[in-house]
Amino acid sequence: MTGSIIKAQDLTVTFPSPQGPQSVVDKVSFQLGPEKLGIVGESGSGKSMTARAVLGLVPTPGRVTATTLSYRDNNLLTMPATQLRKLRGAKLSMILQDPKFSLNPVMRVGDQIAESVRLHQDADRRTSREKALEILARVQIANPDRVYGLYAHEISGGMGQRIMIAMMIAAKPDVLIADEPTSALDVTIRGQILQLLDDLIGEQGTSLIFISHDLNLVAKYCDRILVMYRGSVVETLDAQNLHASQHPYTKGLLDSLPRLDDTRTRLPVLDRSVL
Amino acid sequence: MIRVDDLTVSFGRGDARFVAVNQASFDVAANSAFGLVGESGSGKSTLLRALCGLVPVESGTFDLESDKKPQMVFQDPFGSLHPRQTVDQALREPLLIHGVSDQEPRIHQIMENVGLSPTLRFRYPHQLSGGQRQRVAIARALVLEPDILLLDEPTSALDVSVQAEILNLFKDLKEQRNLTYIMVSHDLAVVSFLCDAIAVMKDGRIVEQLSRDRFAAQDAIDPYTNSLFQAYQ
Repeated sequence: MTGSIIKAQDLTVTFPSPQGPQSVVDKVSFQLGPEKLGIVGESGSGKSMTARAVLGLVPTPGRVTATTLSYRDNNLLTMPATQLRKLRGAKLSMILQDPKFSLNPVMRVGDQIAESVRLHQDADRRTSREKALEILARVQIANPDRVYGLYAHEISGGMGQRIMIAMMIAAKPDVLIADEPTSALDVTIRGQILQLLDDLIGEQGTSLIFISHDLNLVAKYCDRILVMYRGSVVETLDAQNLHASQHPYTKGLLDSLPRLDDTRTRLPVLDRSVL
Repeated sequence: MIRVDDLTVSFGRGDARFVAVNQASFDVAANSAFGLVGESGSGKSTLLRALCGLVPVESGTFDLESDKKPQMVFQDPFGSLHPRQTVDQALREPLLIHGVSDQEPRIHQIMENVGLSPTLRFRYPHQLSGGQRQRVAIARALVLEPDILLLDEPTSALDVSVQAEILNLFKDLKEQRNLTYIMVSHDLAVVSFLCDAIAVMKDGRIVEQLSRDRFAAQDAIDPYTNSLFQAYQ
């Protein structure tokens, strides 16, 4: 594919176990272009670990192997740790489910954004503070001066996620990996956060990997979807075709979702024996 | 029939007083399921906890019309089961506390009813899947044979395929054991699937009550209820 930013070929993550090495990600291949790529699957399907492997964040004693794992033709597997760390801050970023765990609890949130500005845009303290306030306003925080001085425990989940996005704006990443970024949020807030992510991606030309267990959300929000089951990609499809999927796993998951106007009295249960 | 009248729950005093549930009133017919929906902080879980006696009621009344205590099922079975108790111990403990004598047949029966294989009886929570753990939590709630189950987001920590199994189980148990449910959830489709009537909460108040038919048809009058339906789209 031309213009592919991330290439993964036979990406495998194994963990040692008493029964020998267990693959939690098993020969996953995909390419990420300038797009919104969704990865869906149940817990334990390997979707988060796939993302972590791309960022070089697989915890020990996990082992990552691949025929190819590259970012814009830079081999991520052989890259020295210091260089990878630089790349990770500047070009590849991640937003996690719960901002409470990703923000520094003893640092004011504004200072955290300013730090991100200082590191990535080479600004001095004063400019970075001003930039941070500007960015807070951009992520639709009503009173940036007040919020600047708050700590992580003083803010709501929705505001926390806005602040995480604010830090991403400061870093201007090339690729953003969002791992269940809205799962801890109420539906009404969720829409606002997704809109904000969309604006950011559109403005900065960022590519997005969006990890979620929520099939309907991914179908609405992303361009293309990888469906994962037990460490493997079982299906790759355009988001608009998700509901027409004939794959037994994807179809089984979709069928097991209740609907608001459901007329079924029982929900079909996924038959794992055919998978 | 459960009757809740002007139930108010508040925390703190003076300037710090926060009214979590504000004059909530509703009825739940026997052997039906009643849903409480709303965003986080709307007071729906606090209302449920008040009915179970887990938080004190400030004013108003409720009558559960049952001589047995209601039992509760929580969102995260990993957090609500003792990590160093086997399934057998978890199910036996309520029976011991209440001095029930026929423990063996009861444990057998309830495990079968919730679809837990007898081979799982001496496992610890970490040796079970998420769905199995939630089945243990349901079995533990049911082992004292209550009339009422209070369900606080009982499927929101589960994968959708497992959620389907647990929702089916709730439907079966309701018929088999003549149970009445009050369920809190933020998931409108889940509530619509299981419940016969639904109340929408916002800032501690019930803003609207709808039958399941009207809920499913999104036939609401209150603007807040309509905004929830819109966000669901």
